Amino acid sequence: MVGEAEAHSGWAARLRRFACPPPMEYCEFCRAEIPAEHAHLLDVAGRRLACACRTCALAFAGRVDAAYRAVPSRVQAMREFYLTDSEWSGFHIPIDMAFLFHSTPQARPIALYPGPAGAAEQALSVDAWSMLIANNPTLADLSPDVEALLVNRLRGRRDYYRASIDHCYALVGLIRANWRGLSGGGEVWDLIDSFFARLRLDGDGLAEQRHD
Amino acid sequence: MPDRDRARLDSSLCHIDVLIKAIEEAPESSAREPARELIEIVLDLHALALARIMAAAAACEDRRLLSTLAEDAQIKAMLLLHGLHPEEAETRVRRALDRLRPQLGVQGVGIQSGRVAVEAGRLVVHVFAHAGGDGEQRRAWRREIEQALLDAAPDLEEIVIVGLDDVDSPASPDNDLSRAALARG
Ligand SMILES: [Zn+2]
Repeated sequence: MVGEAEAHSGWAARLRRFACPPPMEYCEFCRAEIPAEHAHLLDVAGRRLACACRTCALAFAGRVDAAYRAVPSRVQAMREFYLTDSEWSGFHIPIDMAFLFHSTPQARPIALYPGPAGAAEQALSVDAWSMLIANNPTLADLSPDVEALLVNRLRGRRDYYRASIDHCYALVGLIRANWRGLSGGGEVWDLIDSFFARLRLDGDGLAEQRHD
Repeated sequence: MPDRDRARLDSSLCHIDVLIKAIEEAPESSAREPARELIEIVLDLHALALARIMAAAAACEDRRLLSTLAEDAQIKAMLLLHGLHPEEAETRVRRALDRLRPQLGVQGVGIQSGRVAVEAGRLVVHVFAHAGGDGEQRRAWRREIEQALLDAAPDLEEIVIVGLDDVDSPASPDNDLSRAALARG
Protein backbone atom coordinates (compact mmCIF):
# COMPACT_ATOMS: atom_id res chain seq x y z
CA MET A 1 0.00 0.00 0.00
CA VAL A 2 2.87 2.38 0.68
CA GLY A 3 6.25 2.76 -0.95
CA GLU A 4 9.23 1.11 0.64
CA ALA A 5 11.22 4.30 1.18
CA GLU A 6 8.51 5.68 3.44
CA ALA A 7 7.64 2.42 5.11
CA HIS A 8 8.12 4.00 8.51
CA SER A 9 5.16 6.34 8.60
CA GLY A 10 1.57 5.62 7.68
CA TRP A 11 -0.56 7.28 5.01
CA ALA A 12 -2.81 8.96 7.59
CA ALA A 13 0.18 10.49 9.37
CA ARG A 14 1.58 11.78 6.08
CA LEU A 15 -1.74 13.29 4.98
CA ARG A 16 -2.16 14.99 8.34
CA ARG A 17 1.38 16.30 8.27
CA PHE A 18 0.73 17.75 4.83
CA ALA A 19 -2.62 19.31 5.72
CA CYS A 20 -1.49 20.65 9.11
CA PRO A 21 2.26 21.09 8.92
CA PRO A 22 4.13 21.43 12.23
CA PRO A 23 5.32 24.91 13.20
CA MET A 24 8.41 26.02 11.34
CA GLU A 25 11.87 26.21 12.80
CA TYR A 26 14.29 29.00 12.03
CA CYS A 27 17.87 29.24 10.84
CA GLU A 28 19.94 30.59 13.72
CA PHE A 29 22.14 32.55 11.34
CA CYS A 30 19.76 34.30 8.93
CA ARG A 31 16.36 33.65 10.62
CA ALA A 32 14.95 32.03 7.47
CA GLU A 33 12.24 29.40 8.01
CA ILE A 34 13.61 25.88 7.74
CA PRO A 35 11.87 22.48 7.54
CA ALA A 36 11.85 19.98 10.41
CA GLU A 37 14.67 18.07 8.73
CA HIS A 38 17.48 20.58 8.41
CA ALA A 39 21.22 21.00 8.54
CA HIS A 40 23.21 21.75 11.68
CA LEU A 41 26.37 23.69 12.36
CA LEU A 42 28.52 22.87 15.36
CA ASP A 43 29.49 25.71 17.68
CA VAL A 44 32.95 24.24 18.16
CA ALA A 45 33.95 25.99 21.39
CA GLY A 46 30.46 25.80 22.96
CA ARG A 47 29.97 22.19 21.80
CA ARG A 48 26.43 23.01 20.75
CA LEU A 49 24.50 22.33 17.54
CA ALA A 50 22.91 25.29 15.78
CA CYS A 51 20.04 24.82 13.31
CA ALA A 52 20.84 26.20 9.89
CA CYS A 53 19.28 26.73 6.49
CA ARG A 54 20.93 25.19 3.50
CA THR A 55 22.58 28.41 2.36
CA CYS A 56 24.15 29.13 5.73
CA ALA A 57 25.25 25.51 6.14
CA LEU A 58 26.91 25.63 2.73
CA ALA A 59 28.69 28.88 3.62
CA PHE A 60 30.51 27.04 6.41
CA ALA A 61 31.11 23.80 4.51
CA GLY A 62 34.76 22.97 4.21
CA ARG A 63 35.89 25.69 6.65
CA VAL A 64 37.89 24.06 9.38
CA ASP A 65 39.13 27.20 11.16
CA ALA A 66 35.71 28.82 11.70
CA ALA A 67 33.85 29.10 15.01
CA TYR A 68 31.05 27.05 13.42
CA ARG A 69 31.65 23.86 11.51
CA ALA A 70 29.30 22.18 9.05
CA VAL A 71 28.01 18.81 10.27
CA PRO A 72 27.44 16.46 7.36
CA SER A 73 24.75 14.18 8.83
CA ARG A 74 25.70 10.57 8.28
CA VAL A 75 26.23 7.30 10.01
CA GLN A 76 28.10 4.21 8.99
CA ALA A 77 28.17 0.94 10.88
CA MET A 78 31.72 -0.38 11.19
CA ARG A 79 31.48 -4.08 10.54
CA GLU A 80 35.06 -5.00 11.27
CA PHE A 81 36.18 -3.27 14.41
CA TYR A 82 39.10 -4.16 16.60
CA LEU A 83 38.81 -3.30 20.29
CA THR A 84 39.33 -5.75 23.13
CA ASP A 85 37.40 -5.55 26.39
CA SER A 86 40.55 -4.69 28.31
CA GLU A 87 41.42 -1.91 25.85
CA TRP A 88 37.92 -0.54 26.38
CA SER A 89 38.33 -0.70 30.16
CA GLY A 90 41.58 1.20 29.71
CA PHE A 91 39.59 4.22 28.47
CA HIS A 92 38.03 4.50 31.96
CA ILE A 93 34.61 5.36 30.55
CA PRO A 94 32.12 4.48 33.32
CA ILE A 95 29.33 3.24 31.04
CA ASP A 96 29.12 0.99 28.00
CA MET A 97 28.15 3.70 25.58
CA ALA A 98 30.19 6.73 24.47
CA PHE A 99 31.40 8.74 21.52
CA LEU A 100 35.05 9.44 20.91
CA PHE A 101 36.49 12.15 18.73
CA HIS A 102 39.34 14.58 18.32
CA SER A 103 38.54 17.97 19.87
CA THR A 104 40.18 20.91 18.12
CA PRO A 105 39.70 23.44 20.97
CA GLN A 106 41.21 21.03 23.47
CA ALA A 107 43.81 19.83 20.98
CA ARG A 108 43.38 16.21 22.06
CA PRO A 109 41.06 13.23 21.74
CA ILE A 110 38.16 13.03 24.19
CA ALA A 111 35.25 10.74 24.97
CA LEU A 112 31.78 11.97 25.86
CA TYR A 113 29.25 9.68 27.42
CA PRO A 114 25.56 10.33 28.02
CA GLY A 115 23.96 10.43 31.44
CA PRO A 116 20.93 11.87 33.21
CA ALA A 117 22.47 15.34 33.27
CA GLY A 118 23.71 15.40 29.69
CA ALA A 119 27.11 14.50 28.29
CA ALA A 120 30.04 13.97 30.62
CA GLU A 121 33.62 14.10 29.47
CA GLN A 122 36.43 11.63 29.90
CA ALA A 123 39.89 12.55 28.65
CA LEU A 124 41.53 10.01 26.37
CA SER A 125 45.24 9.51 26.30
CA VAL A 126 46.85 10.31 22.97
CA ASP A 127 48.39 6.84 23.05
CA ALA A 128 45.05 5.10 23.47
CA TRP A 129 43.56 7.10 20.61
CA SER A 130 46.56 6.39 18.37
CA MET A 131 46.30 2.69 19.16
CA LEU A 132 42.60 2.74 18.26
CA ILE A 133 43.39 4.37 14.91
CA ALA A 134 46.28 1.98 14.26
CA ASN A 135 43.96 -0.98 14.81
CA ASN A 136 41.10 0.59 12.86
CA PRO A 137 42.67 2.72 10.12
CA THR A 138 39.36 4.08 8.81
CA LEU A 139 39.18 6.22 11.96
CA ALA A 140 42.16 8.22 10.70
CA ASP A 141 39.97 10.35 8.46
CA LEU A 142 37.25 11.23 10.97
CA SER A 143 36.64 14.98 10.74
CA PRO A 144 37.73 16.55 14.04
CA ASP A 145 34.90 17.83 16.27
CA VAL A 146 32.04 16.91 13.91
CA GLU A 147 32.56 13.18 13.46
CA ALA A 148 32.95 10.55 16.16
CA LEU A 149 33.36 6.90 16.85
CA LEU A 150 30.06 5.99 18.52
CA VAL A 151 30.31 2.92 20.71
CA ASN A 152 27.44 0.80 22.00
CA ARG A 153 28.52 -2.07 24.23
CA LEU A 154 25.29 -2.25 26.23
CA ARG A 155 23.76 -5.68 26.89
CA GLY A 156 26.72 -7.47 25.43
CA ARG A 157 26.55 -5.68 22.10
CA ARG A 158 29.75 -4.66 20.36
CA ASP A 159 28.46 -2.06 17.92
CA TYR A 160 30.68 0.63 16.48
CA TYR A 161 29.59 3.45 14.25
CA ARG A 162 31.27 6.22 12.44
CA ALA A 163 28.65 8.89 13.19
CA SER A 164 28.34 12.60 12.71
CA ILE A 165 28.13 14.51 15.96
CA ASP A 166 24.43 15.41 15.50
CA HIS A 167 23.56 11.72 15.94
CA CYS A 168 25.70 11.56 19.07
CA TYR A 169 24.03 14.61 20.60
CA ALA A 170 20.61 13.25 19.65
CA LEU A 171 21.40 10.25 21.87
CA VAL A 172 22.52 12.54 24.70
CA GLY A 173 19.34 14.62 24.41
CA LEU A 174 17.13 11.55 24.30
CA ILE A 175 18.61 10.20 27.52
CA ARG A 176 18.54 13.51 29.36
CA ALA A 177 14.89 14.13 28.39
CA ASN A 178 13.65 10.68 29.34
CA TRP A 179 15.71 9.71 32.37
CA ARG A 180 13.54 8.92 35.41
CA GLY A 181 14.71 8.18 38.92
CA LEU A 182 17.98 6.49 39.79
CA SER A 183 18.14 3.81 37.14
CA GLY A 184 16.52 5.76 34.32
CA GLY A 185 13.27 3.83 34.22
CA GLY A 186 12.19 1.28 31.61
CA GLU A 187 11.16 3.88 29.06
CA VAL A 188 14.60 5.41 28.55
CA TRP A 189 16.19 2.00 27.95
CA ASP A 190 13.56 1.16 25.34
CA LEU A 191 14.23 4.51 23.68
CA ILE A 192 17.98 3.82 23.67
CA ASP A 193 17.28 0.45 22.03
CA SER A 194 15.11 2.15 19.44
CA PHE A 195 17.76 4.79 18.81
CA PHE A 196 20.39 2.17 18.03
CA ALA A 197 17.90 0.08 16.07
CA ARG A 198 17.30 3.05 13.79
CA LEU A 199 21.00 3.82 13.63
CA ARG A 200 21.64 0.27 12.47
CA LEU A 201 19.07 0.72 9.71
CA ASP A 202 20.56 4.05 8.66
CA GLY A 203 24.10 2.74 8.96
CA ASP A 204 23.31 -0.17 6.70
CA GLY A 205 22.29 2.29 4.05
CA LEU A 206 18.64 1.21 4.15
CA ALA A 207 17.50 4.72 5.03
CA GLU A 208 18.85 7.92 3.55
CA GLN A 209 19.74 10.84 5.76
CA ARG A 210 17.87 13.87 4.56
CA HIS A 211 18.43 17.46 5.54
CA ASP A 212 17.29 19.85 2.90
CA MET B 1 -16.27 -5.45 2.41
CA PRO B 2 -16.34 -6.47 -1.30
CA ASP B 3 -12.96 -6.90 -3.01
CA ARG B 4 -13.82 -4.12 -5.43
CA ASP B 5 -14.28 -1.65 -2.58
CA ARG B 6 -11.12 -2.87 -0.87
CA ALA B 7 -9.11 -2.35 -4.05
CA ARG B 8 -10.59 1.11 -4.48
CA LEU B 9 -9.71 2.05 -0.91
CA ASP B 10 -6.14 0.79 -1.34
CA SER B 11 -5.65 2.66 -4.57
CA SER B 12 -7.08 5.87 -3.06
CA LEU B 13 -4.69 5.68 -0.12
CA CYS B 14 -1.82 5.00 -2.46
CA HIS B 15 -2.80 7.93 -4.64
CA ILE B 16 -2.79 10.34 -1.69
CA ASP B 17 1.01 10.14 -1.48
CA VAL B 18 1.42 10.76 -5.19
CA LEU B 19 -0.83 13.82 -5.06
CA ILE B 20 0.82 15.26 -1.94
CA LYS B 21 4.16 14.97 -3.66
CA ALA B 22 2.79 16.62 -6.80
CA ILE B 23 1.44 19.58 -4.82
CA GLU B 24 4.62 19.94 -2.78
CA GLU B 25 6.70 19.95 -5.92
CA ALA B 26 4.38 22.13 -7.97
CA PRO B 27 6.31 24.95 -9.66
CA GLU B 28 3.58 27.52 -8.94
CA SER B 29 4.21 28.11 -5.25
CA SER B 30 1.23 30.51 -5.09
CA ALA B 31 -1.13 27.57 -5.71
CA ARG B 32 0.47 25.37 -3.06
CA GLU B 33 -0.83 27.11 0.05
CA PRO B 34 -4.51 27.38 -1.09
CA ALA B 35 -4.41 23.70 -2.10
CA ARG B 36 -3.09 22.72 1.31
CA GLU B 37 -5.61 24.92 3.08
CA LEU B 38 -8.47 23.48 1.03
CA ILE B 39 -7.51 19.98 2.14
CA GLU B 40 -7.21 21.14 5.74
CA ILE B 41 -10.72 22.64 5.69
CA VAL B 42 -12.32 19.63 3.99
CA LEU B 43 -10.60 17.31 6.47
CA ASP B 44 -11.79 19.45 9.39
CA LEU B 45 -15.39 19.36 8.17
CA HIS B 46 -15.28 15.59 7.91
CA ALA B 47 -13.56 15.24 11.28
CA LEU B 48 -16.26 17.26 13.04
CA ALA B 49 -19.10 15.31 11.44
CA LEU B 50 -17.40 11.95 12.06
CA ALA B 51 -16.77 12.86 15.70
CA ARG B 52 -20.50 13.52 16.15
CA ILE B 53 -21.43 10.25 14.45
CA MET B 54 -19.05 8.36 16.74
CA ALA B 55 -20.38 10.15 19.82
CA ALA B 56 -23.93 9.20 18.84
CA ALA B 57 -22.87 5.59 18.22
CA ALA B 58 -21.08 5.46 21.57
CA ALA B 59 -24.22 6.76 23.31
CA CYS B 60 -26.29 4.05 21.64
CA GLU B 61 -27.31 1.23 23.96
CA ASP B 62 -26.63 -1.38 21.30
CA ARG B 63 -22.80 -1.70 21.28
CA ARG B 64 -22.89 -3.47 17.94
CA LEU B 65 -23.19 -0.20 16.05
CA LEU B 66 -19.89 1.12 17.42
CA SER B 67 -18.02 -2.08 16.67
CA THR B 68 -19.51 -2.30 13.17
CA LEU B 69 -18.25 1.20 12.48
CA ALA B 70 -14.83 0.49 13.98
CA GLU B 71 -14.32 -2.70 12.00
CA ASP B 72 -15.48 -1.64 8.55
CA ALA B 73 -12.29 -1.13 6.53
CA GLN B 74 -13.54 1.95 4.71
CA ILE B 75 -14.87 3.65 7.84
CA LYS B 76 -11.88 2.54 9.87
CA ALA B 77 -9.52 4.30 7.48
CA MET B 78 -11.34 7.61 7.99
CA LEU B 79 -11.57 7.14 11.76
CA LEU B 80 -7.83 6.53 11.90
CA LEU B 81 -7.12 9.57 9.77
CA HIS B 82 -9.06 11.77 12.17
CA GLY B 83 -7.85 10.14 15.35
CA LEU B 84 -11.36 8.90 16.15
CA HIS B 85 -10.89 5.15 16.12
CA PRO B 86 -12.06 3.69 19.45
CA GLU B 87 -9.08 1.32 19.68
CA GLU B 88 -5.68 2.57 20.82
CA ALA B 89 -2.76 2.15 18.43
CA GLU B 90 -1.15 -0.29 20.89
CA THR B 91 -4.19 -2.58 20.73
CA ARG B 92 -4.36 -2.45 16.95
CA VAL B 93 -0.66 -3.23 16.67
CA ARG B 94 -0.87 -6.14 19.10
CA ARG B 95 -3.74 -7.59 17.09
CA ALA B 96 -1.79 -7.20 13.87
CA LEU B 97 1.11 -9.10 15.45
CA ASP B 98 -1.29 -11.83 16.56
CA ARG B 99 -2.60 -12.17 13.00
CA LEU B 100 0.94 -12.18 11.62
CA ARG B 101 2.23 -14.87 13.98
CA PRO B 102 0.78 -17.94 12.22
CA GLN B 103 1.69 -16.56 8.78
CA LEU B 104 5.32 -16.06 9.76
CA GLY B 105 5.27 -19.28 11.76
CA VAL B 106 4.90 -21.39 8.65
CA GLN B 107 8.03 -19.69 7.28
CA GLY B 108 9.95 -20.66 10.41
CA VAL B 109 9.91 -17.20 11.98
CA GLY B 110 8.75 -17.08 15.56
CA ILE B 111 7.74 -13.72 16.96
CA GLN B 112 6.65 -12.79 20.42
CA SER B 113 5.67 -9.26 21.19
CA GLY B 114 7.02 -7.57 24.25
CA ARG B 115 6.44 -3.96 25.17
CA VAL B 116 4.36 -1.94 22.74
CA ALA B 117 4.33 1.75 23.53
CA VAL B 118 3.42 4.94 21.71
CA GLU B 119 5.22 8.16 22.47
CA ALA B 120 4.96 11.40 20.52
CA GLY B 121 3.49 9.65 17.50
CA ARG B 122 6.27 7.10 17.55
CA LEU B 123 5.46 3.49 18.20
CA VAL B 124 8.12 1.28 19.67
CA VAL B 125 7.48 -2.44 19.39
CA HIS B 126 9.74 -4.88 21.12
CA VAL B 127 9.78 -8.19 19.37
CA PHE B 128 11.53 -11.35 20.40
CA ALA B 129 12.10 -13.16 17.17
CA HIS B 130 13.90 -16.33 16.30
CA ALA B 131 14.59 -17.23 12.73
CA GLY B 132 17.29 -18.57 10.51
CA GLY B 133 18.07 -17.04 7.17
CA ASP B 134 20.61 -14.50 6.02
CA GLY B 135 20.54 -10.72 6.41
CA GLU B 136 18.56 -10.26 3.22
CA GLN B 137 15.86 -12.66 4.36
CA ARG B 138 15.65 -11.05 7.78
CA ARG B 139 15.29 -7.63 6.19
CA ALA B 140 12.43 -8.98 4.11
CA TRP B 141 10.72 -10.27 7.27
CA ARG B 142 11.32 -6.96 8.96
CA ARG B 143 9.65 -5.17 6.05
CA GLU B 144 6.73 -7.56 6.17
CA ILE B 145 6.24 -7.00 9.89
CA GLU B 146 6.64 -3.24 9.55
CA GLN B 147 4.11 -3.13 6.72
CA ALA B 148 1.56 -5.12 8.70
CA LEU B 149 1.98 -2.80 11.69
CA LEU B 150 1.75 0.30 9.50
CA ASP B 151 -1.47 -0.97 7.95
CA ALA B 152 -2.82 -1.43 11.46
CA ALA B 153 -1.68 2.01 12.60
CA PRO B 154 -1.31 4.34 9.60
CA ASP B 155 -1.84 7.29 11.92
CA LEU B 156 1.58 6.90 13.53
CA GLU B 157 4.49 9.06 12.48
CA GLU B 158 6.99 6.31 12.95
CA ILE B 159 7.21 2.66 13.83
CA VAL B 160 10.39 1.31 15.32
CA ILE B 161 10.77 -2.40 15.79
CA VAL B 162 13.34 -3.44 18.32
CA GLY B 163 14.66 -6.97 18.53
CA LEU B 164 14.68 -8.16 14.93
CA ASP B 165 18.44 -7.73 14.76
CA ASP B 166 18.84 -10.21 17.55
CA VAL B 167 17.09 -13.09 15.85
CA ASP B 168 20.14 -15.29 16.22
CA SER B 169 20.94 -14.51 19.81
CA PRO B 170 18.56 -15.00 22.72
CA ALA B 171 17.75 -11.84 24.67
CA SER B 172 20.60 -11.40 27.11
CA PRO B 173 19.77 -10.93 30.78
CA ASP B 174 22.65 -8.54 31.52
CA ASN B 175 20.48 -5.41 31.12
CA ASP B 176 20.46 -4.77 34.80
CA LEU B 177 24.23 -4.67 34.90
CA SER B 178 24.50 -2.04 32.20
CA ARG B 179 21.56 -0.15 33.68
CA ALA B 180 23.30 0.01 37.01
CA ALA B 181 26.47 1.10 35.25
CA LEU B 182 24.71 3.97 33.49
CA ALA B 183 23.07 5.05 36.73
CA ARG B 184 26.52 5.57 38.16
CA GLY B 185 27.55 7.68 35.19
ZN1 LIG C 1 20.36 30.62 7.22
